Amino acid sequence: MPESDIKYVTLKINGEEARVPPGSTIMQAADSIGAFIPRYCYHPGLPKVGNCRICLVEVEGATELLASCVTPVINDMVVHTESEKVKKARASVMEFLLINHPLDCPFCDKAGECDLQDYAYMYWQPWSRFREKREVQGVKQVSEEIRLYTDRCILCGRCVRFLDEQADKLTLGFIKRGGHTELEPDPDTVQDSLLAGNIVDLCPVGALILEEFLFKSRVWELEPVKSVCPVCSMGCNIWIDVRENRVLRIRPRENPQINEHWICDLGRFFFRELSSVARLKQPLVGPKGKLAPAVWEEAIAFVRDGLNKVRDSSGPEAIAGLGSPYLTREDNRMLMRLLTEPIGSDRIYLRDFHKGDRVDFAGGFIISENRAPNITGAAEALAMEKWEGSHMGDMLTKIDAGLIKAAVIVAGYPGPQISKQDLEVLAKLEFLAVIDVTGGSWEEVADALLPGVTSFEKWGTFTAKNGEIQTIRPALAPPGEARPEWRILADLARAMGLDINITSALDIKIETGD
Amino acid sequence: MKEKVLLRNAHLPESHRIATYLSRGGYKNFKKALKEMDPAQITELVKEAGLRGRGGAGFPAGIKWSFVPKNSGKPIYLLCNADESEPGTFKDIVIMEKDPHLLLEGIAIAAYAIGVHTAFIYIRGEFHDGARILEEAIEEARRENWLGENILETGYSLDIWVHRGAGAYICGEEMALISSLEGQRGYPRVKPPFPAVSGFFGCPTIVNNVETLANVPFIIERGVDWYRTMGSERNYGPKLYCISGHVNNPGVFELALGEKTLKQLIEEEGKGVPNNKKVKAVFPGGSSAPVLTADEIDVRADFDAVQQAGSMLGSAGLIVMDETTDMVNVTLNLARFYAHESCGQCTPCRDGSLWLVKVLRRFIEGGGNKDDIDLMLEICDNIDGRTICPLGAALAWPIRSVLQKFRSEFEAKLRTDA
Repeated sequence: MPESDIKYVTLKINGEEARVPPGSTIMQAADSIGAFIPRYCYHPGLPKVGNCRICLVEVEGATELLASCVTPVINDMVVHTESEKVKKARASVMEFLLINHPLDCPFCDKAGECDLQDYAYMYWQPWSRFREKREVQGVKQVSEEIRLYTDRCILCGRCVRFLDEQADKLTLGFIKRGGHTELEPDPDTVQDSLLAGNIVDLCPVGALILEEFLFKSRVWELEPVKSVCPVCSMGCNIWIDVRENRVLRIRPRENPQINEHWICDLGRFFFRELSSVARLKQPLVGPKGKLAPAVWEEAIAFVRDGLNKVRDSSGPEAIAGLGSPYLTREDNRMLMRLLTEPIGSDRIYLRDFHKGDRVDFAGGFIISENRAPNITGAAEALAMEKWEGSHMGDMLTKIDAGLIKAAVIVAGYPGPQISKQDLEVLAKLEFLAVIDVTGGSWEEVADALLPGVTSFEKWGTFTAKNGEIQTIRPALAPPGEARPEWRILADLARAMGLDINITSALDIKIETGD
Repeated sequence: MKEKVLLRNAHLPESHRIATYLSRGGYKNFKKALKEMDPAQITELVKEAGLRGRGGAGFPAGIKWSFVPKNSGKPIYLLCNADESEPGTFKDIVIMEKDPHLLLEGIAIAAYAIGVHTAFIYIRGEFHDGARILEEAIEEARRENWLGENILETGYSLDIWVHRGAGAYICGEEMALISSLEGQRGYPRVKPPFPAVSGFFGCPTIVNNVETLANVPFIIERGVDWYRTMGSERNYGPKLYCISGHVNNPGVFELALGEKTLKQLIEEEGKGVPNNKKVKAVFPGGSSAPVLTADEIDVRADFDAVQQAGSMLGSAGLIVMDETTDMVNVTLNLARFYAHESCGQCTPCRDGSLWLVKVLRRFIEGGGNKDDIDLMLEICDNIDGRTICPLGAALAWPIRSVLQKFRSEFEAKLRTDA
């Protein structure tokens, strides 16, 4: 319906006017003017239930306080969210919840990002009138990755609604009744949904805890970095939580168009493997099979000389470049510029990527079968009009036929392993320079092996599946002498005579339709 | 009341059999409705008669029926609330066990009026006999084509199903009843949407109490003017009163609504308090109503009069307590019931009800502190009006009223060593 045809509803909240589409709730109207109303059970990505009762507000003309998260607005409604009556009601909900909630703050991971803590501070007092025995419930396992501290649970039901509506694998439910109600995992079903990790994020308290993060850090000691998940082509937005140059946690970052409020567990736990990758920490230069460390200047010069030699003897078309859908648009664009400008070759190829199972979840979340973050972005940066899949085969055929005699391969992490057959073909090259984060089988066939970085260690952009261009930001310092790929390629291009001055990835402009 | 209406068949041998029911003129009103009236007419009639719900809320049935949207494209459901769990209430079971066909005929006429082809009787799980009797009665009715396909060749079809609950008072609340019938936990839901618009599986749904539906055939038969000879303005029709507790003659009694006062009912129908004791406290509406003291029960036993006296008629389950009753124990008993029955969904009722139990237990065991009484009053205030469903009010009103009206009994139990 066109914007002009929507009959907005106007109402007053704390004396200020709010104007919202019909069907909005009082809470949505209050959010739109920045009048914050506390909420536990309400979550914008889940069906509404209105059971926590902390969002009760005063509406003139209504006999009782109303739950703002479920009450639709009416024209000329007059709402008070900070009256004495409302404040007393909020304080009473806090008092009720804190009767049984254990004082686990000193060792609860949620401290610092806990709604119960925050609202207690904002809306309550630091003492309780409860003198009786508390309900005590144990610790349970929801899945291998998720632990449940049952008596911390405030019974908001968000996790149950999420698993039901979004993950379509409901293995959590409430058992018993009244004040004895507790959250219980289904003993007969394994919780293996790839969306399960989200229940830890959306739990307003520290009841659902990620085993991966358990006791690792206080959240205020983490530095959150905005980035994009590198696992598949969807481009879900993430926060990377870093402490002292280690990734401790990945969380979803809200993006209404792509991932809404969620990420899958493939992305959530991807960072684990980073610590076990054997990283290249310095440039290594030839002869093949006997590579030795070098400083960057030497290494760049070595590659320049190696490529020039082949160009002089066999012409520019004898040199090829292989880009990667695991690298940023800037990395790939710089590779293209290197090949086309100082070298003068148009033999540009794009390598393969992992395939997995596509998963379509009930609530609309998708894990793509294409497991690389920048497929369309790389193709576009390499100025490929119609790219239907990897060209590695094409490139390897030409190498085999002696048409290509030198190559610059920028592998990207975590690209697929090169097969033995392909390595045998690559071994025929007169000169091969490889940029990768790990050495492995490259060491047998490369003349120069230069240390690149992962998507957690540089600035750059990926193009998401829906066409959005999104920025990744460095969360970690590259190890040793490793450098972003765009920088290595820019230095090489300059060394080969290209007159450019590129000091950051942002300097590499990529116009579409170029 | 000159003649029994709702209980007219209950005393007969084999009163639950269709043969008995038919011999007493049974199902002729359903036939009349089907063949001589159209659905809108019936709804109007029930509205005009002023039949108010007999489940506890007293909401006018005809008005509720008219909330159903005409052209939603969805099937419309009628759910008969036979959960009867309000303490002190045992009237619906009398109808179900003694005159099940009366209920079935009431359901059938209401279903026809609302546009329903599938009706459910949600009966509390503990009533296994009642459920069996109803199922047998439904079988009898089907066999004689009062239910099923193409009833009396009119083209109208209706099936009634009996669904047993699983032991939860909260499932007598209409939204929780719907949730339970759908196979979910018996959690009430926020309104809007109202069940008449979106209820059972998102379809328009009407929930009516057993006694309410049992009134319907008589309205069809004898009309508005006759119906209004019983009771007074806005409080019409026959009423089943349950009297229990410290009375000589506990039981179910049928009178016109408001025909007698609460006091008269206790003294005449209930035949007074045993052992020459005096009345101390009465819960008039089942236990979910503010308590009335002995000098507050001289009020007409109808919806409006009892409300004006500061309580509510509710399910008309009068619980009588004599002068020997320890009101502190009564409060604990009440608190334990509601804490046990709280569904646990919303914070104030869930956490507040159990807190009240714990404070009261400590109180009774000799550990009452002087600010505990005001604490309990405040807990009640923090529950009342703050919950999704009326169970919050149902627990707050009686408990608060006992704390207020019998405060001295609590004060007498305070710790002396404090």
